Amino acid sequence: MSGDLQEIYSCLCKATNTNPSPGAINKEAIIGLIDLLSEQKSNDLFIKESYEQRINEILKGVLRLAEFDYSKKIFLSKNKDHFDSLAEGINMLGEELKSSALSLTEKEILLKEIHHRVKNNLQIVSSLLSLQSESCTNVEMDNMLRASVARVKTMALIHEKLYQSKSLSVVNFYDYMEDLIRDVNGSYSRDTAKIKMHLDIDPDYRHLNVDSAIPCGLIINELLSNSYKYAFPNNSNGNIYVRMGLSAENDKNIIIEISDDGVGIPQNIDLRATTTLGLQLVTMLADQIDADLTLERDRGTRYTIEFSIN
Amino acid sequence: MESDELILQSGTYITSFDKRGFVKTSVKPNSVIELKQAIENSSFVKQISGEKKHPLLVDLRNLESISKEARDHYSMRNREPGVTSIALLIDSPIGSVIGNFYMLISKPTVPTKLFTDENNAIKWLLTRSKL
Repeated sequence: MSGDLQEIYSCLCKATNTNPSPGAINKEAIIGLIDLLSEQKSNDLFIKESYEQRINEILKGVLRLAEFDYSKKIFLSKNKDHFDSLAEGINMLGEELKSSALSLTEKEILLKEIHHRVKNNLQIVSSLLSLQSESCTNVEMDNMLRASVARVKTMALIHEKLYQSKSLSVVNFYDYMEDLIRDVNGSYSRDTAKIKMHLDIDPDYRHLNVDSAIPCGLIINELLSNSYKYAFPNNSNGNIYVRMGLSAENDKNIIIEISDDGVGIPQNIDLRATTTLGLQLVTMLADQIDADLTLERDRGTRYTIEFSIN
Repeated sequence: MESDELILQSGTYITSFDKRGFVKTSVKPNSVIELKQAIENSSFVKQISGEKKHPLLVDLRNLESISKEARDHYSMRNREPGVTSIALLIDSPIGSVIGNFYMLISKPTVPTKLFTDENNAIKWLLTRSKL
Protein backbone atom coordinates (compact mmCIF):
# COMPACT_ATOMS: atom_id res chain seq x y z
CA MET A 1 0.00 0.00 0.00
CA SER A 2 2.73 2.47 0.94
CA GLY A 3 4.54 1.54 -2.30
CA ASP A 4 1.41 2.45 -4.27
CA LEU A 5 1.10 5.78 -2.41
CA GLN A 6 4.76 6.48 -3.10
CA GLU A 7 4.23 5.88 -6.83
CA ILE A 8 1.07 8.06 -6.94
CA TYR A 9 2.90 10.82 -5.02
CA SER A 10 5.87 10.69 -7.43
CA CYS A 11 3.57 10.88 -10.46
CA LEU A 12 1.66 13.86 -8.99
CA CYS A 13 4.92 15.66 -8.16
CA LYS A 14 6.09 15.15 -11.75
CA ALA A 15 2.76 16.24 -13.24
CA THR A 16 2.60 19.41 -11.12
CA ASN A 17 6.30 20.12 -11.46
CA THR A 18 6.66 20.04 -7.65
CA ASN A 19 9.73 18.96 -5.68
CA PRO A 20 8.92 15.87 -3.53
CA SER A 21 8.91 16.49 0.26
CA PRO A 22 11.49 14.58 2.21
CA GLY A 23 8.97 13.55 4.93
CA ALA A 24 6.44 10.75 5.04
CA ILE A 25 3.76 10.68 2.36
CA ASN A 26 0.31 11.15 3.78
CA LYS A 27 -3.25 11.59 2.49
CA GLU A 28 -3.17 15.41 2.85
CA ALA A 29 -0.01 15.73 0.75
CA ILE A 30 -1.61 13.71 -2.04
CA ILE A 31 -4.91 15.68 -1.89
CA GLY A 32 -2.91 18.92 -1.95
CA LEU A 33 -1.11 17.82 -5.14
CA ILE A 34 -4.40 16.70 -6.75
CA ASP A 35 -5.86 20.18 -6.06
CA LEU A 36 -2.75 21.82 -7.47
CA LEU A 37 -2.93 19.65 -10.58
CA SER A 38 -6.59 20.47 -11.05
CA GLU A 39 -5.87 24.20 -10.72
CA GLN A 40 -2.99 24.00 -13.18
CA LYS A 41 -5.12 22.09 -15.70
CA SER A 42 -7.84 24.69 -15.31
CA ASN A 43 -5.30 27.48 -15.92
CA ASP A 44 -3.89 25.66 -18.95
CA LEU A 45 -7.38 25.29 -20.34
CA PHE A 46 -8.07 28.98 -19.72
CA ILE A 47 -4.85 29.99 -21.48
CA LYS A 48 -5.58 27.61 -24.36
CA GLU A 49 -9.10 28.98 -24.76
CA SER A 50 -7.83 32.54 -24.52
CA TYR A 51 -5.21 31.85 -27.23
CA GLU A 52 -7.81 30.20 -29.43
CA GLN A 53 -10.11 33.18 -29.00
CA ARG A 54 -7.40 35.64 -29.96
CA ILE A 55 -6.29 33.58 -32.95
CA ASN A 56 -9.92 33.49 -34.09
CA GLU A 57 -10.21 37.27 -33.67
CA ILE A 58 -7.11 37.77 -35.82
CA LEU A 59 -8.33 35.31 -38.45
CA LYS A 60 -11.68 37.08 -38.59
CA GLY A 61 -9.85 40.38 -39.09
CA VAL A 62 -7.82 38.92 -41.97
CA LEU A 63 -10.98 37.48 -43.54
CA ARG A 64 -12.68 40.87 -43.30
CA LEU A 65 -9.77 42.40 -45.23
CA ALA A 66 -9.96 39.61 -47.80
CA GLU A 67 -13.60 40.62 -48.33
CA PHE A 68 -12.64 44.31 -48.59
CA ASP A 69 -14.47 45.06 -45.36
CA TYR A 70 -12.55 47.78 -43.53
CA SER A 71 -15.29 48.67 -41.08
CA LYS A 72 -13.89 46.89 -38.02
CA LYS A 73 -10.46 46.61 -36.46
CA ILE A 74 -9.09 43.67 -34.51
CA PHE A 75 -9.40 44.21 -30.78
CA LEU A 76 -6.08 44.79 -28.98
CA SER A 77 -5.56 43.64 -25.39
CA LYS A 78 -3.40 45.60 -22.98
CA ASN A 79 -0.85 42.76 -22.88
CA LYS A 80 1.18 44.17 -25.79
CA ASP A 81 2.17 40.60 -26.63
CA HIS A 82 2.78 38.91 -29.97
CA PHE A 83 -0.95 38.55 -30.60
CA ASP A 84 -1.37 42.30 -30.14
CA SER A 85 1.55 43.04 -32.43
CA LEU A 86 0.10 40.78 -35.12
CA ALA A 87 -3.33 42.38 -34.69
CA GLU A 88 -1.82 45.89 -34.82
CA GLY A 89 0.06 45.01 -38.02
CA ILE A 90 -3.12 43.68 -39.64
CA ASN A 91 -5.08 46.74 -38.50
CA MET A 92 -2.45 49.04 -40.01
CA LEU A 93 -2.48 47.03 -43.22
CA GLY A 94 -6.29 47.38 -43.30
CA GLU A 95 -5.94 51.16 -43.00
CA GLU A 96 -3.48 51.22 -45.90
CA LEU A 97 -5.72 48.99 -48.03
CA LYS A 98 -8.77 51.14 -47.27
CA SER A 99 -6.88 54.25 -48.29
CA SER A 100 -5.65 52.61 -51.54
CA ALA A 101 -9.17 51.36 -52.31
CA LEU A 102 -10.58 54.85 -51.85
CA SER A 103 -7.98 56.43 -54.07
CA LEU A 104 -8.56 53.71 -56.67
CA THR A 105 -12.30 54.44 -56.65
CA GLU A 106 -11.60 58.16 -57.10
CA LYS A 107 -9.30 57.40 -60.04
CA GLU A 108 -11.91 55.13 -61.62
CA ILE A 109 -14.53 57.87 -61.37
CA LEU A 110 -12.11 60.35 -62.95
CA LEU A 111 -11.19 57.93 -65.72
CA LYS A 112 -14.87 57.29 -66.49
CA GLU A 113 -15.42 61.03 -66.63
CA ILE A 114 -12.49 61.43 -69.03
CA HIS A 115 -13.80 58.68 -71.36
CA HIS A 116 -17.24 60.31 -71.18
CA ARG A 117 -15.84 63.71 -72.12
CA VAL A 118 -13.66 62.31 -74.91
CA LYS A 119 -16.73 60.55 -76.31
CA ASN A 120 -18.77 63.78 -76.10
CA ASN A 121 -16.04 65.79 -77.80
CA LEU A 122 -15.70 63.21 -80.56
CA GLN A 123 -19.47 63.32 -81.03
CA ILE A 124 -19.28 67.08 -81.41
CA VAL A 125 -16.54 66.69 -84.04
CA SER A 126 -18.62 64.08 -85.83
CA SER A 127 -21.71 66.35 -85.75
CA LEU A 128 -19.70 69.25 -87.14
CA LEU A 129 -18.42 67.09 -89.97
CA SER A 130 -21.98 65.89 -90.65
CA LEU A 131 -23.23 69.46 -90.85
CA GLN A 132 -20.40 70.29 -93.19
CA SER A 133 -21.29 67.28 -95.30
CA GLU A 134 -24.94 68.33 -95.55
CA SER A 135 -24.01 71.69 -96.99
CA CYS A 136 -21.43 70.21 -99.35
CA THR A 137 -22.30 70.15 -103.04
CA ASN A 138 -19.23 68.31 -104.23
CA VAL A 139 -19.94 64.54 -104.18
CA GLU A 140 -16.32 63.57 -103.71
CA MET A 141 -15.89 65.97 -100.82
CA ASP A 142 -19.17 64.78 -99.33
CA ASN A 143 -17.98 61.16 -99.42
CA MET A 144 -14.75 62.12 -97.72
CA LEU A 145 -16.62 64.00 -95.00
CA ARG A 146 -18.97 61.07 -94.44
CA ALA A 147 -16.03 58.67 -94.17
CA SER A 148 -14.48 60.98 -91.60
CA VAL A 149 -17.74 61.08 -89.63
CA ALA A 150 -17.77 57.27 -89.54
CA ARG A 151 -14.15 57.16 -88.33
CA VAL A 152 -14.76 59.67 -85.55
CA LYS A 153 -17.92 57.80 -84.50
CA THR A 154 -15.93 54.54 -84.40
CA MET A 155 -13.53 56.08 -81.90
CA ALA A 156 -16.31 57.71 -79.89
CA LEU A 157 -18.03 54.36 -79.58
CA ILE A 158 -14.93 52.80 -78.02
CA HIS A 159 -14.84 55.54 -75.36
CA GLU A 160 -18.56 55.05 -74.73
CA LYS A 161 -18.03 51.31 -74.24
CA LEU A 162 -15.06 52.01 -71.98
CA TYR A 163 -16.89 54.21 -69.52
CA GLN A 164 -19.77 51.76 -69.52
CA SER A 165 -17.46 48.81 -68.82
CA LYS A 166 -16.45 47.73 -65.33
CA SER A 167 -12.75 47.46 -65.99
CA LEU A 168 -12.24 50.77 -67.88
CA SER A 169 -9.39 49.19 -69.80
CA VAL A 170 -11.07 46.47 -71.85
CA VAL A 171 -13.97 46.63 -74.29
CA ASN A 172 -16.58 43.96 -74.87
CA PHE A 173 -15.93 43.64 -78.57
CA TYR A 174 -19.17 41.80 -79.27
CA ASP A 175 -21.28 44.70 -77.93
CA TYR A 176 -19.01 47.12 -79.69
CA MET A 177 -19.33 45.31 -83.02
CA GLU A 178 -23.12 45.22 -82.78
CA ASP A 179 -23.20 49.01 -82.36
CA LEU A 180 -20.53 49.60 -84.99
CA ILE A 181 -22.41 47.49 -87.57
CA ARG A 182 -25.62 49.39 -86.78
CA ASP A 183 -23.77 52.70 -87.33
CA VAL A 184 -22.15 51.56 -90.58
CA ASN A 185 -25.52 50.25 -91.77
CA GLY A 186 -27.17 53.55 -90.96
CA SER A 187 -24.58 55.61 -92.77
CA TYR A 188 -25.36 54.14 -96.21
CA SER A 189 -28.43 55.17 -98.03
CA ARG A 190 -28.58 51.93 -100.05
CA ASP A 191 -31.01 49.10 -99.19
CA THR A 192 -28.96 47.50 -96.46
CA ALA A 193 -31.67 44.89 -95.83
CA LYS A 194 -30.31 43.07 -98.86
CA ILE A 195 -26.97 42.67 -97.15
CA LYS A 196 -26.96 40.09 -94.41
CA MET A 197 -24.50 40.61 -91.60
CA HIS A 198 -23.00 37.59 -89.79
CA LEU A 199 -21.22 38.21 -86.52
CA ASP A 200 -19.30 35.32 -84.98
CA ILE A 201 -17.20 36.28 -81.97
CA ASP A 202 -15.71 33.63 -79.69
CA PRO A 203 -17.30 34.25 -76.26
CA ASP A 204 -13.99 33.46 -74.52
CA TYR A 205 -12.12 36.14 -76.47
CA ARG A 206 -14.61 38.93 -76.83
CA HIS A 207 -12.71 41.40 -74.68
CA LEU A 208 -10.01 43.60 -76.17
CA ASN A 209 -7.82 46.07 -74.36
CA VAL A 210 -8.16 49.71 -75.32
CA ASP A 211 -4.81 49.77 -77.18
CA SER A 212 -6.03 47.09 -79.59
CA ALA A 213 -9.71 47.99 -79.58
CA ILE A 214 -9.41 51.45 -81.18
CA PRO A 215 -7.20 50.37 -84.14
CA CYS A 216 -9.30 47.19 -84.60
CA GLY A 217 -12.52 49.22 -84.54
CA LEU A 218 -11.17 51.63 -87.14
CA ILE A 219 -9.90 48.80 -89.35
CA ILE A 220 -13.25 47.01 -89.20
CA ASN A 221 -15.09 50.24 -89.91
CA GLU A 222 -13.00 50.79 -93.07
CA LEU A 223 -13.37 47.21 -94.30
CA LEU A 224 -17.10 47.03 -93.58
CA SER A 225 -17.60 50.36 -95.31
CA ASN A 226 -15.69 49.06 -98.34
CA SER A 227 -17.89 45.97 -98.47
CA TYR A 228 -21.04 48.08 -98.26
CA LYS A 229 -19.79 50.50 -100.87
CA TYR A 230 -18.20 48.22 -103.44
CA ALA A 231 -18.92 44.50 -102.89
CA PHE A 232 -22.56 44.44 -103.93
CA PRO A 233 -23.13 46.72 -106.94
CA ASN A 234 -26.57 47.46 -108.34
CA ASN A 235 -28.25 46.87 -104.99
CA SER A 236 -27.54 43.15 -105.18
CA ASN A 237 -27.92 40.69 -102.29
CA GLY A 238 -24.95 39.52 -100.28
CA ASN A 239 -23.36 38.52 -96.99
CA ILE A 240 -20.75 40.15 -94.83
CA TYR A 241 -18.99 38.08 -92.18
CA VAL A 242 -17.09 39.29 -89.12
CA ARG A 243 -15.35 36.56 -87.16
CA MET A 244 -13.13 36.91 -84.16
CA GLY A 245 -11.41 34.21 -82.11
CA LEU A 246 -8.18 32.59 -81.10
CA SER A 247 -5.75 31.55 -83.83
CA ALA A 248 -5.80 27.78 -84.42
CA GLU A 249 -2.04 27.80 -84.94
CA ASN A 250 -0.95 30.13 -82.15
CA ASP A 251 -3.06 30.32 -79.00
CA LYS A 252 -1.48 33.64 -78.08
CA ASN A 253 -2.87 35.33 -81.16
CA ILE A 254 -6.28 36.75 -81.95
CA ILE A 255 -7.64 36.57 -85.47
CA ILE A 256 -10.24 38.95 -86.87
CA GLU A 257 -11.68 38.08 -90.23
CA ILE A 258 -13.85 40.45 -92.29
CA SER A 259 -15.15 38.91 -95.48
CA ASP A 260 -17.92 39.25 -98.01
CA ASP A 261 -19.25 37.19 -100.93
CA GLY A 262 -19.44 40.15 -103.24
CA VAL A 263 -17.69 40.94 -106.52
CA GLY A 264 -14.24 40.90 -104.96
CA ILE A 265 -11.55 43.53 -104.79
CA PRO A 266 -9.82 44.23 -108.14
CA GLN A 267 -6.62 42.22 -108.69
CA ASN A 268 -4.61 45.35 -109.39
CA ILE A 269 -5.12 46.73 -105.88
CA ASP A 270 -2.06 46.12 -103.73
CA LEU A 271 -2.77 46.54 -100.00
CA ARG A 272 0.70 47.88 -99.26
CA ALA A 273 0.82 50.27 -102.20
CA THR A 274 -2.71 51.55 -102.35
CA THR A 275 -3.52 55.21 -102.78
CA THR A 276 -6.98 55.08 -101.18
CA LEU A 277 -7.09 56.62 -97.73
CA GLY A 278 -9.28 53.85 -96.26
CA LEU A 279 -6.90 51.01 -97.15
CA GLN A 280 -3.88 53.12 -96.23
CA LEU A 281 -5.45 53.55 -92.82
CA VAL A 282 -6.06 49.81 -92.57
CA THR A 283 -2.40 48.94 -93.22
CA MET A 284 -1.17 51.72 -90.95
CA LEU A 285 -3.42 50.66 -88.07
CA ALA A 286 -2.51 47.00 -88.55
CA ASP A 287 1.15 47.99 -88.23
CA GLN A 288 0.30 49.95 -85.08
CA ILE A 289 -0.91 46.81 -83.29
CA ASP A 290 1.83 44.73 -84.91
CA ALA A 291 -0.72 42.65 -86.79
CA ASP A 292 -0.33 40.47 -89.86
CA LEU A 293 -2.79 41.63 -92.47
CA THR A 294 -3.69 39.33 -95.37
CA LEU A 295 -6.10 39.71 -98.26
CA GLU A 296 -7.72 36.84 -100.18
CA ARG A 297 -9.76 37.44 -103.29
CA ASP A 298 -11.43 34.04 -103.82
CA ARG A 299 -15.21 34.22 -103.97
CA GLY A 300 -15.45 37.76 -102.69
CA THR A 301 -12.99 39.48 -100.39
CA ARG A 302 -11.49 38.22 -97.17
CA TYR A 303 -9.25 40.26 -94.88
CA THR A 304 -7.51 38.53 -91.99
CA ILE A 305 -5.87 40.44 -89.16
CA GLU A 306 -3.82 38.41 -86.71
CA PHE A 307 -2.21 39.98 -83.66
CA SER A 308 -0.89 39.02 -80.26
CA ILE A 309 -3.25 39.06 -77.26
CA ASN A 310 -0.58 40.81 -75.25
CA MET B 1 22.36 76.02 -36.33
CA GLU B 2 21.77 73.15 -33.92
CA SER B 3 21.59 73.75 -30.19
CA ASP B 4 23.05 71.34 -27.66
CA GLU B 5 21.15 73.10 -24.90
CA LEU B 6 17.73 73.01 -26.42
CA ILE B 7 15.28 70.35 -25.35
CA LEU B 8 11.83 70.56 -26.84
CA GLN B 9 8.96 68.77 -25.18
CA SER B 10 5.47 68.13 -26.39
CA GLY B 11 2.77 65.97 -24.85
CA THR B 12 4.09 62.92 -26.64
CA TYR B 13 7.78 63.52 -27.54
CA ILE B 14 10.99 64.79 -26.01
CA THR B 15 13.38 66.05 -28.65
CA SER B 16 16.97 67.13 -28.10
CA PHE B 17 20.38 67.40 -29.74
CA ASP B 18 23.04 64.96 -28.57
CA LYS B 19 26.54 66.43 -28.50
CA ARG B 20 27.86 63.35 -30.26
CA GLY B 21 26.18 64.67 -33.37
CA PHE B 22 22.65 63.43 -33.69
CA VAL B 23 19.09 64.45 -32.88
CA LYS B 24 17.17 62.25 -30.49
CA THR B 25 13.41 62.20 -30.27
CA SER B 26 11.74 59.91 -27.74
CA VAL B 27 8.12 58.96 -27.47
CA LYS B 28 6.80 59.53 -23.96
CA PRO B 29 5.26 56.58 -22.06
CA ASN B 30 1.93 55.28 -23.39
CA SER B 31 1.78 57.83 -26.16
CA VAL B 32 -0.79 57.62 -28.91
CA ILE B 33 0.57 59.51 -31.90
CA GLU B 34 -2.01 61.27 -34.05
CA LEU B 35 -1.40 63.65 -36.97
CA LYS B 36 -1.18 66.70 -34.70
CA GLN B 37 1.57 65.14 -32.60
CA ALA B 38 3.43 63.95 -35.69
CA ILE B 39 3.40 67.45 -37.24
CA GLU B 40 4.59 68.97 -33.97
CA ASN B 41 7.34 66.40 -33.69
CA SER B 42 8.59 67.02 -37.25
CA SER B 43 8.66 70.71 -36.52
CA PHE B 44 10.66 70.17 -33.30
CA VAL B 45 13.17 67.91 -35.06
CA LYS B 46 13.66 70.59 -37.73
CA GLN B 47 14.02 73.27 -35.07
CA ILE B 48 16.64 71.30 -33.15
CA SER B 49 18.53 70.35 -36.34
CA GLY B 50 18.72 73.94 -37.51
CA GLU B 51 19.95 74.38 -41.04
CA LYS B 52 22.18 71.31 -40.95
CA LYS B 53 21.17 67.72 -41.63
CA HIS B 54 21.75 65.26 -38.82
CA PRO B 55 21.22 61.59 -38.07
CA LEU B 56 18.02 60.96 -36.10
CA LEU B 57 17.42 58.53 -33.28
CA VAL B 58 13.72 57.82 -32.77
CA ASP B 59 12.96 56.05 -29.52
CA LEU B 60 9.70 54.20 -30.05
CA ARG B 61 9.93 52.03 -26.95
CA ASN B 62 7.06 53.76 -25.19
CA LEU B 63 4.84 54.04 -28.22
CA GLU B 64 1.31 52.81 -27.63
CA SER B 65 -0.02 53.30 -31.16
CA ILE B 66 0.29 55.55 -34.19
CA SER B 67 -2.59 56.59 -36.42
CA LYS B 68 -2.72 56.19 -40.20
CA GLU B 69 -2.66 59.98 -40.65
CA ALA B 70 0.48 60.28 -38.52
CA ARG B 71 2.16 57.45 -40.44
CA ASP B 72 1.21 59.17 -43.70
CA HIS B 73 2.70 62.42 -42.40
CA TYR B 74 6.03 60.71 -41.68
CA SER B 75 5.90 58.80 -44.96
CA MET B 76 5.33 61.98 -46.98
CA ARG B 77 8.97 62.88 -46.47
CA ASN B 78 8.12 65.37 -43.73
CA ARG B 79 10.78 63.82 -41.56
CA GLU B 80 13.52 63.34 -44.07
CA PRO B 81 14.58 66.76 -45.40
CA GLY B 82 16.46 67.52 -42.19
CA VAL B 83 17.95 64.11 -41.49
CA THR B 84 20.67 61.96 -43.02
CA SER B 85 19.67 58.60 -41.49
CA ILE B 86 17.13 57.25 -39.04
CA ALA B 87 17.59 54.65 -36.29
CA LEU B 88 14.33 53.36 -34.82
CA LEU B 89 14.65 52.07 -31.30
CA ILE B 90 12.13 49.38 -30.32
CA ASP B 91 11.77 46.82 -27.57
CA SER B 92 8.32 45.27 -27.97
CA PRO B 93 6.59 43.11 -30.55
CA ILE B 94 4.24 46.02 -31.35
CA GLY B 95 7.20 48.39 -31.75
CA SER B 96 8.77 45.89 -34.11
CA VAL B 97 5.59 45.71 -36.23
CA ILE B 98 5.24 49.52 -36.35
CA GLY B 99 8.94 49.94 -37.20
CA ASN B 100 8.86 47.30 -39.92
CA PHE B 101 5.62 48.72 -41.25
CA TYR B 102 7.21 52.16 -41.55
CA MET B 103 10.23 50.75 -43.37
CA LEU B 104 8.25 48.51 -45.75
CA ILE B 105 5.19 50.64 -46.49
CA SER B 106 6.48 54.18 -46.13
CA LYS B 107 9.84 53.35 -47.73
CA PRO B 108 11.97 56.13 -46.23
CA THR B 109 14.44 57.67 -48.68
CA VAL B 110 17.25 57.96 -46.12
CA PRO B 111 18.97 54.88 -44.63
CA THR B 112 16.73 53.58 -41.83
CA LYS B 113 17.28 50.67 -39.46
CA LEU B 114 15.56 49.07 -36.46
CA PHE B 115 17.45 48.54 -33.20
CA THR B 116 16.64 47.04 -29.83
CA ASP B 117 19.85 48.36 -28.26
CA GLU B 118 20.35 52.11 -27.93
CA ASN B 119 24.17 51.95 -28.00
CA ASN B 120 24.14 49.97 -31.23
CA ALA B 121 21.67 52.43 -32.71
CA ILE B 122 23.89 55.41 -31.82
CA LYS B 123 26.99 53.62 -33.08
CA TRP B 124 25.29 52.96 -36.42
CA LEU B 125 24.04 56.56 -36.71
CA LEU B 126 27.49 57.99 -36.01
CA THR B 127 29.12 55.60 -38.49
CA ARG B 128 26.56 56.65 -41.11
CA SER B 129 27.19 60.34 -40.44
CA LYS B 130 30.89 59.87 -41.27
CA LEU B 131 30.13 58.32 -44.68
